[in-house]
Order: sequence, then structure tokens, then C-alpha cells
Amino acid sequence: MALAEAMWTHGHSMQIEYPDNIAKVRKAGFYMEVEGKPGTKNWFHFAIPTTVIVNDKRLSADSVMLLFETLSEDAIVRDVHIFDGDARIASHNGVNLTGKAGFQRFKVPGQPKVKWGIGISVGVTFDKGSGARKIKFKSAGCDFIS
Amino acid sequence: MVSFGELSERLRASTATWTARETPQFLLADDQKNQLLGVVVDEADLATAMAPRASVETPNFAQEVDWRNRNGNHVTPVKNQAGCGSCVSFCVIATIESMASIELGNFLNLSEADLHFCSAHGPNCDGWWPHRAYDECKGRGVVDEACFPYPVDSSGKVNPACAACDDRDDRAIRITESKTINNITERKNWLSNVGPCCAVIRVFDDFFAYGGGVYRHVVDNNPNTPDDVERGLHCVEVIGYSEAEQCWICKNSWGTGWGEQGFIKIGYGEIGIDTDFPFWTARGVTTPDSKLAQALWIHGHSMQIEYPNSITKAWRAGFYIEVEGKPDTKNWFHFAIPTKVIVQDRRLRVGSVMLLMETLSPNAIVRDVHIYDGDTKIAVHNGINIVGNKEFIRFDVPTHPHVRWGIGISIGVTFKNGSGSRVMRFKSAGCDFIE
Repeated sequence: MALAEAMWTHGHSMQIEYPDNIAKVRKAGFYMEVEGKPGTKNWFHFAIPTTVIVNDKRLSADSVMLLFETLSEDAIVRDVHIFDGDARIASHNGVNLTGKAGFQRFKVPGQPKVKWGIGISVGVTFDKGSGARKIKFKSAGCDFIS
Repeated sequence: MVSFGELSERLRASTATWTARETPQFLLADDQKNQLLGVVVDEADLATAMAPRASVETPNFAQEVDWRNRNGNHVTPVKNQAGCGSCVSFCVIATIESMASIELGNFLNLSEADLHFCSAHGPNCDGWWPHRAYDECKGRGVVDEACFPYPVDSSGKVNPACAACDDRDDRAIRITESKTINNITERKNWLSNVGPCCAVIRVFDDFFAYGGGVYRHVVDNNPNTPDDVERGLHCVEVIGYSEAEQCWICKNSWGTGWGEQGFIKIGYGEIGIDTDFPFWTARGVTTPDSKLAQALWIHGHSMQIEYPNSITKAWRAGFYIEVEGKPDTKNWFHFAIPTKVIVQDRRLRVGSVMLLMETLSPNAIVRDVHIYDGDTKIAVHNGINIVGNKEFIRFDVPTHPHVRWGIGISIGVTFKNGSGSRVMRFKSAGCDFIE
């Protein structure tokens, strides 16, 4: 299968599931930086622009990608879930990524045909340690194959 | 019938603003003249179409409109129905050809024979009703003239048999929308802003001799001369109007030897055009190569809320965004659809938009859906009143306009004051783009 489309959205389009658990949000040109309250968990959601059909042919989701960093080990990317509309099509639990993670790819097993629009939900734990509980989301994307 | 001499005398004696000529149609025998007039009224349908409507139209029209010269020519050449009562098919096809030119930039030559002889109308030269013909164009569609040329021989005799090409279904061109307009202001608004229409008129003897000018039926008050007979009902394409001359500009289907190279100006209020029959419209022309080029979606949790203060709760989850409205409030929810306006040097057109959503009780009602391209509203679906788990719903954009700025979908929701939940879930929103 060939890579038909690679679609990305900028980090500052991210949506926060539990705003009350956030100490600070900064939407900058470079990225979106969020600081979690100590001892909290949160989910951060990206809506990926999704081309489901090209020239009468439906595409499949191959993998999603994230560009991010956490500023200390007190901000941990714990889980990454991938949705097509309201259907969860992949779960990557316990990935536990910290620091300058940079570009990370998460596969979608079975490469399902995409129907409704891809969502990437990033579960983050903010610990009670002395480090910065900050994460910078720079971008998120998805590879679609035909 | 009235002789040409008598008609000329009447015109001289009157304040007529048109001239008569011995056209090919005027020289026909009476039964041949009658054969040209092929409108068969559906009385119930006509009553519905002409019933007064509550809405008041705001004038939004130019003083002069002629689609032969309105950002180019969008009126296809005058054709000749010959000795057959197929004027309805010629008129309906003419409006679709015009709309194809306006909407798609394609100057098509479509087959009146396919519409008249191969459709539900049947293989005969009897008349028809425009509403039925437009229904056929929405359903089975019509093909290009090359697939089924009009079957007329050199003597003008029409053979009313269906002989469309083998692959006609693969070549069919369709419309998505047709409606009637009986309000004069609305007619001018449509002609000014959208395109030509189809009209029905009462035809008297003098009409056959129309040579030019603004036609107004000349009434004979002389008891010693033959009465001017109403011969039947006819169908013409209205391609514009003139406020200065107080007339509709129409294309006939009697060849270029009649009227002003086949065209006629009919005075406002004349021969039943304004009082007895509606105008019919067509739009949303789709061709066989109008393939689905791109279908683009965005996840529900990207939705934006117009009035956050009217919301009790907004929960953005991985599955969807769930919003709960305050009792007795209205709100708008907006989706920005990822939009590729140009792909491989070709500008795409908007086919329809789609929503994946549900309301958790009848106290949350999806009232309206509006569709935008940038700041231009390109489609309105008001009063749809959707409740419950409808999941996937499609909303058409009838004109399939070229997309320029980026598609927005705005959903108007009413949250009532009942005891049930006032919760909505938006799961996804998308748009089909066609070439």
C-alpha cells in the first residue's frame, strides 16, 4: 500500500479534556504549552484533518504521529489512543514518554478504512515532584494509505 | 383563424409594441399549430404551485438581466421541436443546459428526445407537465444529444420512438433540485442571482406571427372579424427580463426563423405568464464525471461553541464532544472542515456536508444547519428539527459551488425546558468535494 496522504494539524489546535486540572495554558506560534496541577491526569485531543476518500477510493489509517516534549519527568505521556469518529481504533497504553521525545509514531493495527475523522487523544500524568509539570505539543498528524 | 393581413391591420390600429411576420409557424395549418403546444396541466400540482405563500420576498435584483450576456453567454442555441408537442422537454432541457453553463462552465447539448421519448412520458408526441419532466431529470437524468439526436427528418416529421445509445445510463446528467416560483419579486431575484427558469404561457394566433419587439396579445374588438383563438399552452425558457421594457426575455423552441432569432420578449402580465402559471427552476447539475474527488472530515471534539455562557457543560472526550445546554436557550455550534480548494490545478466544488451526532432527549433539538464557504453562506437547511440518535445525516449544497475559502458547518440547536437531558454529542463532521 502506498502513502496516499499525510495530514497534520498544528499543536495549538489541541483541546483539553479537563481544563480544571490545568494550572496554565499558553498558545504560542511554536507550540501549545500546558502545565498540569500536581497529582492530576488529563487527556489532550487533536482533531486530524482527515481525507477519507480520494478519487472515489476510501483511504486507510496507517499510523499517527506526535511532535512534543515534556519539560521534566513530572509530566509523563502515559497513553495514546486513536479514534475514527467515536470508534477507538488503536490504544497505546503505558508508553510513558518524557523529555525531548520529539517525533513519535504510533501504529494503527489492521490499517482500517477511515470513515469519520481521526482523533488522537494523549493521556498525560502530572506528578507531584519538584520538576516542571509542563508539556509542549508542537504538532500531530496521521499517515493515510491507499 | 386570423389572416396575416387582419393581424397586421390590428397591430397598426393598436398601440402594439411588436411587429408581425409570416413566420414558418404562422403558415402552418391549424392542427399543425396546435401540435406545437404541448403543456398538459396537472391541476392539483398547479394549484399547489400557485397558492399564496406567507413569505415576503425582499427585492434583490438587477434592472436588466439577460443570461446571453451575464458574465458570458449561458444560453445554448435555439432548437426546433418541429411537429411534435415536446415543448416542455425543450424548455426543461434549455434551463438545465443554462445551469450547467453557470454552475460548471460546461456548454452542454442535451437530448430532448431522451427526456421526451425514453422517460416516464413515453414514446409519443403528446404534451407534458414541467414538474414531471424535472422529476425525470432528477431521477433517471438526461443524456447528451449525441447519445440520442432529436429524431426529425428533412420534412420536419418527428419519429417519437426511444432510441437512446446503449450506455445512456453511464452518460446521464442530473439535477439535484427543482422548485416553482409564483412570486414576481422572487422570480426576478432568481433570474438575477441564480439563472434562467421555465415558464408556461397561453398561445393565441398572433403569437405564431411574432417578429420582434415586446409582445402583448392584441385583442380584437371588431365583431365582424374572426376571433383570435387561444390555441393551447406552451413552454419557454425565461432567460432574463427588462424593467425598462417591462418584459420577460424568453427562448422559444421553434427555430431561429421565428421571433427575434428564436427569442421573444413577453410583456409582464401577458398571456398568463405571471397570473396563471409558476416559473420552474433547476439547479445542482451533476455530470457523469462529477466524481467524488475528496471527502474531508474533522473529529467532533474540534467543535466551537458560539455562546459558551448558554452551556452548562462541555466535555471534550476522545469519542466525541458532549455539550449540555441551559434550559430554554439556543446556541450555534461550528465546525471548520479541512478544505482543499484546489487539487492538481483544479478547483473543487462542494457536494454536500455530513454530520455524525446525536441528542440524548427531545429537549435538545438540532434546528438548523447552515453551510459556509468563508463568510459566504452557500446552503441553508432550516427547521429540520432532528432529535435522538440519528447518527449520520447528509445535507446537500444544491448549487455545488466551487470552493474558495474553507467550509464551515454551523448547527443551530434549541435546548428546551423539559425534564429530560439537554445533552448533545457531536462525533464528527465532514464534506464531500466533487470535481
